[in-house]
Amino acid sequence: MKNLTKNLGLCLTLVAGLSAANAAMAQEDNYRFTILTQTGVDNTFWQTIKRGMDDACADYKVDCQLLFNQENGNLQQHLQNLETTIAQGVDGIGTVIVEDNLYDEAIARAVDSGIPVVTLNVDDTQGADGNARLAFIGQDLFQAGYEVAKGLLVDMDKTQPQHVLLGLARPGESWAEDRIGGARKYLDEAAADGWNLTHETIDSANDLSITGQRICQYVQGNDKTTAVIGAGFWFAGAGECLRDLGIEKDQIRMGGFDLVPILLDEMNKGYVHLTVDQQPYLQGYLPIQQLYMIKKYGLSAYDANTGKALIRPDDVASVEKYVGMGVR
Amino acid sequence: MRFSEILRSKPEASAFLMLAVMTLLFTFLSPAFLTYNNFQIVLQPIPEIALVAIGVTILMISGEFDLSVGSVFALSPMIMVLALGAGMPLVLAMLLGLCAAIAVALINAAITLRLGLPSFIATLGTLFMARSIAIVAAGGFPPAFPRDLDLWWIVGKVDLLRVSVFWLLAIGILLGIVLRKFDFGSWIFATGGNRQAARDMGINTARVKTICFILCSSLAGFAGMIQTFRIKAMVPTMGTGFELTAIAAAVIGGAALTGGIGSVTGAVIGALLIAFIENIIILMRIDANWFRFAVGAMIVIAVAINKLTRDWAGISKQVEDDND
Repeated sequence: MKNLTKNLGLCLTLVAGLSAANAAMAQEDNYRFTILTQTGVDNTFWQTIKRGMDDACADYKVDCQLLFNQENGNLQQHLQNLETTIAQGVDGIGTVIVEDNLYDEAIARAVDSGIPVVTLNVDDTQGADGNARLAFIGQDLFQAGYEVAKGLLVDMDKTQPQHVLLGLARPGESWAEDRIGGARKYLDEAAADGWNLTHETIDSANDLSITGQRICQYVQGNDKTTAVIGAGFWFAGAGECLRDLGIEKDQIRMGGFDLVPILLDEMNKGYVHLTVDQQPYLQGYLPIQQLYMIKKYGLSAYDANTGKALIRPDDVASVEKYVGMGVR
Repeated sequence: MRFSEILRSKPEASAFLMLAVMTLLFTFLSPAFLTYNNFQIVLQPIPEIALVAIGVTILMISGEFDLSVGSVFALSPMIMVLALGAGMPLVLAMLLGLCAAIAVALINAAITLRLGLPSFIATLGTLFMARSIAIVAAGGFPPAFPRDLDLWWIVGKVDLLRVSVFWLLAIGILLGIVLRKFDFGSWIFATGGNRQAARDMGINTARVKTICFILCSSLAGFAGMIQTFRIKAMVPTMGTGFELTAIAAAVIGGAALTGGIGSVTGAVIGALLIAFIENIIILMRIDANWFRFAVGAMIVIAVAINKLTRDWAGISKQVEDDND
């Protein structure tokens, strides 16, 4: 009985000790991290980033918040949210930089005051030279645009003239300009090599219906068009009206970015041939992981290229289930 | 009836004149404009834009605004697609989606008419709320669109057109008749023209406006469903900014921002004109960075010419009266 009482006492002491240690650890690790974006809450792509962020926050037991803009693309509002977050004195910040100069002063001030700031998804076009942020987690947008153009045109007949329509989804926003700029660079290089290759850029908008309409209107007015490159996934909305125009599958090659159900459907139908998965889940998970490591162990931030993986129709079956899970 | 009198008495007449002039001008500017293939594409989204514009026009005639139509345009089909995914039959799922639209309309009406807030502000609030509900309902991700639905009766192809054009015609003719031939139509004009006078005539103006809110929202929800069926996809961002396009179409079509003036035909013409303007700018291969400037400038020119034409018609009438 005495032993039992002693053992029970030991157990209780151990449990109490562990609880206290856990509580101390939970207290110690109760960091507050905030991620900010310039887009509105209705941006599907960012929901996958949020999923990654939520999972990382659960894994590392930290308090996280993702601040969407009330108004999509309102950069002043985004800057205001950033300033408010810095003033709150959070333990770490992840943000996009969609304008090279707008955020420089605020981010430098945050870093100087000991708040680590990493960028995700969209970075300053000058990279670390243009902003005080510690690291960038995302896709090399310009390079990805280059790869899409290259990957889309690789099978096309170089002895025949080709005309490529470039869909600039959001003129003036660096993510779209960079991607289309990269695609344009490849096309210009290919043309310089002697291929009769022309291209034209339109404001294609970022709405499935509107983008689809604009692409189809362009194609029917310019019947030499042989390929379409979009800055996002919205170009997939053109599949339906291209069929209405009597354009057969594979007649016009289309490629762009990201993974959504309609894009995969159009791949299966033969109207979309290529997309780049930039793995937004990682763009939500890795910033939290890095901020945690910086705060807890004093480790350095590091750049991470989350993807230039080219997805083709043959890959649809293998990625479809992950798209359904909201992680790709 | 003299030409100037037609322009003055029918708000849509000058818009129709504009449409005719623009069509001729655009045909001259691009040989690809007046072609079968081009019209096949341009006409596809017209029922969607025009149905929303008709609802907004009727509500504007009654003296109110609805900025939430862009979000209802996404909310109704989102509810419908989720219901379809849960195994509900198509028609029931559509009705459920329309119920969501009506719920938003009743909130708009309650805030505007009971609390006395301007509808511009009330519906700005529900614009955000409805969009948020659409996102939350889908968990932030676009739901899979059912691939095995028979949608011919709503968006099937009939040569140049889609069946949705006939839905637009049926709804447009019905509402046009209601506006012009039924007492309820007169009540709408009276309510928007002079609310106090309408009340004095015994018209229940609050009920008239509530019905107009419901009509406007329901048409936006139905139009959103048509677009979902047409593109066979549902994303939560659908219809973003659509409210401004619909108001622009209504104004181009002759509806007065102050209420009491407008027509169903005008709304359809306004929607056509906006679609034609965007189309010609694409066909003319305007640089991407100038695209929005060009669309905006063309819309301002269209509305200005519309107003000047009507002003001219009014002056002509004045001169005639003075001569008499």
